[in-house]
Amino acid sequence: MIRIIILIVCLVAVMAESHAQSDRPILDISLKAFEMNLPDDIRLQQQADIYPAVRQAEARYLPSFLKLILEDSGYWGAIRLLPDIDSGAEVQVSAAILESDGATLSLAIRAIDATGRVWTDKIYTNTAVESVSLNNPVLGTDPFLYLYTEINNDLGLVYSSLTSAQLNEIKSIATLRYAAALAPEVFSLYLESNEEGIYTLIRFPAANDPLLLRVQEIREHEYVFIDVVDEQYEDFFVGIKPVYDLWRRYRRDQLSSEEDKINRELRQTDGFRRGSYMSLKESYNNFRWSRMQDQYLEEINEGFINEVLPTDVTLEDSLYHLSGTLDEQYQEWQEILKEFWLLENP
Amino acid sequence: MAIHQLLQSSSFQFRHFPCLFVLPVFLLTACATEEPAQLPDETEYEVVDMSGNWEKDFQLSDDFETEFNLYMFDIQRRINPQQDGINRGFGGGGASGSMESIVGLARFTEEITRMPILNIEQDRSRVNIDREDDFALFCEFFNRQNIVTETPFGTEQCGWNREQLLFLLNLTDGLQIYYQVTLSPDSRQLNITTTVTSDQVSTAMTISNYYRRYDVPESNIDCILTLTRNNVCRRVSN
Repeated sequence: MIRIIILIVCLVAVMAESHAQSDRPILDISLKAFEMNLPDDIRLQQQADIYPAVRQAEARYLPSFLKLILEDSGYWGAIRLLPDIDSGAEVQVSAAILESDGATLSLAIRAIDATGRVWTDKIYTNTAVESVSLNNPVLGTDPFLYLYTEINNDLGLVYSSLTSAQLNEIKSIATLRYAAALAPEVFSLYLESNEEGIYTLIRFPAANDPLLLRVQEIREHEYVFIDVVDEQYEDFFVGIKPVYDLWRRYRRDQLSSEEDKINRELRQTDGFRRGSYMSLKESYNNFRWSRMQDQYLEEINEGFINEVLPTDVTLEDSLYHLSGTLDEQYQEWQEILKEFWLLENP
Repeated sequence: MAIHQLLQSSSFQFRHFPCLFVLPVFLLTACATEEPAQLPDETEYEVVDMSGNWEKDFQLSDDFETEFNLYMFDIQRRINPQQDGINRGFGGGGASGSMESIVGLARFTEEITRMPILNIEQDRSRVNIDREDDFALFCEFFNRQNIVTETPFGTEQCGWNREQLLFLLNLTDGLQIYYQVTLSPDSRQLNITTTVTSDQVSTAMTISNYYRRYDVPESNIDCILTLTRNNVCRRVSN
């Protein structure tokens, strides 16, 4: 409870400071779909109760929720969720799902800005807290709300610690890194990077540099695609939220009853003589119960997949289609930029 | 008639279990002659397709009453090979505890081997034997290794031995259940031999059940399980 109060206080403090510093440059955040972190060996997946199809849905659902939390804080500029790393990200957030069983959520989060400064690189773990929010039924009722809030707060604290000059530098370097990915022979000259991956700005091209203007044009075009990708993730999130909420609730109930049963059985001695009918029966019934719990879990997972699969396939198709289009656009623009470069630098 | 009903009938007790009361049963716990079952390590095997709906063939399957008598006779023979023991008096004292174990094992075996209906689903890498009113026996085959499922209440091991599918359950309180599932060469019959062992009884009890295929009438309703709407069904055209 104390932890929750502290988190809320922190959030309020960060938000208040944000408003006070509203003239400061605002940073955009690029979120990469989470790593599923699936063990290769199918037996290890079973031992850890990881169901690949559920994990795949989580890898898209959880960052979608984080995106909503970041947006809701009002602290950031555009939050973009992408299937891959964004080469022009001002702040790139990526994560791996370490544990997600409905009762516990554990994420390894890494956030890094365009200069290579690490904002956070740690494991966030939380146990589910049932909550009901009348004000915000989408965000307020998530059982892991505090985990996401903690991530937002950590990012907010780093943001608050940076000066406006540092924030502007992040924005400039993000633009140049994006430009350097398109035309490395031109734009990598403006940047310097060391072995630790820290970028420093040597100088910035003139504001009316034609190549830079074209790169910015490409970036704007890319945003159009990213917005479409984003919409797909949003549709996916809205589509699976009720199913995923239910799946997590069933899982929590199952885990809690399993824990109760094990504790009860281990604590009490049954009083039956070893080898007697009652003793054999109890031994078998306990095992039977345990196996039926496993089979119940399989059913829950199957029910989840049956309901989520069409939405998942739609997202998969659209991401595939969009990334294909993006790649083509990139190639096309790279060709055009090269031609310009050759024309202007014969 | 279930075993506990059989045992409650006094006439049944004296007619069928003359030897039961003379066993020096205190020896039973001391002479555990049978080794616990073990699944063979990596063996040559061929996965056979057992999928389908199966119903118990009561004519071919073991009659429990007969098997129980044979079982009791076997126990007596093991303990006291020189004497038939028939005319001995009713043994008392420390015998009752082990008697309880023998009868308990038999009664328990009868209960878990009823399994009147089976539904088997199988593909190239897994088999699921769905049993009415009991948990499904499930096996996945990886690289010819036996698969072990561990729970806080025991372990389930499964694997193939030639064309036989094996399940070995090692449960708490010294209880072991061993299922051997075999398909007949013409694929029309299925046999499940169940061997139940308790560390409190020297002799395991084995029951063999036969099953024959039955057809489930085709339905033009296709249902899938969902979380928010339970079963969602749709009519399919034949």
